Amino acid sequence: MTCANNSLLYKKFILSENVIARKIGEEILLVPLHGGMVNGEDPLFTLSPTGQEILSLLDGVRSLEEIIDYLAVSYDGDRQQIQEDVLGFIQELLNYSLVEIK
Amino acid sequence: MNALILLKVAVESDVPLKMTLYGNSMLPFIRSGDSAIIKSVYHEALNIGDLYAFVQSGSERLIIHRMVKFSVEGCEMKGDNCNQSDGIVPISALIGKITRVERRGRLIFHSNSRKNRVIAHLSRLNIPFIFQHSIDLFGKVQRRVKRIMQSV
Repeated sequence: MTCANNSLLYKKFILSENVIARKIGEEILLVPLHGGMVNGEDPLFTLSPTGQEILSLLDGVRSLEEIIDYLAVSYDGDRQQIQEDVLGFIQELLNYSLVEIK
Repeated sequence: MNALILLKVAVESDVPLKMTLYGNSMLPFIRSGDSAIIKSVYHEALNIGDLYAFVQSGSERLIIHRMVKFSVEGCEMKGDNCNQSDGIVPISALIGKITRVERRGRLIFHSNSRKNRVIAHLSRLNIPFIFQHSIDLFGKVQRRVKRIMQSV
């Protein structure tokens, strides 16, 4: 866990305006837009049910810390482990500009 | 499969899709590696000679071929470098319309052009197919002659 990652805890996130999210079967597909266009050469991002739940909680109102608290209570799991998983997931989404800080 | 999913997502969201075309079925006009812009077919006119993306029934493969005939049953689609057409494809099977094709940044095709209609007529007569196969045959003969000359 890095300090840079920890600083994300107090930030609020939303799905980027330049991303299309579509449910395909059981998975959510995230497709980035470039200049208002889908680029067929871009990698496809699919979200597992856990990823989908985290994404649905990114409403730009709750901070990441609040979301982690909510997940820890909902799943009755190890908070530290949930925090690491959520931070890693958000960092991955940020790397591909799929979410943005509100 | 990815191309089909991406195209469906782009069409549902009403945004264009930029993708690289692969295959030789549209030679000599479109080459493998050319880059195409595809838009939803719902907002575009259906014109003989234009290129459309579709899926044949029972297949999940995305095909991009030229519309060579239009009738109430659907449209006849054909690859310029194919000696047979794909048959009548129902209009509901058309997903996207290719609005432009570029090769290394140079525009080599755009939709709604009169030239496309002329090419469609030639394609129905298999002229691009015969032309392409003549070139391929000439190339093979030329390479074989060169090999023979080198070995002598």
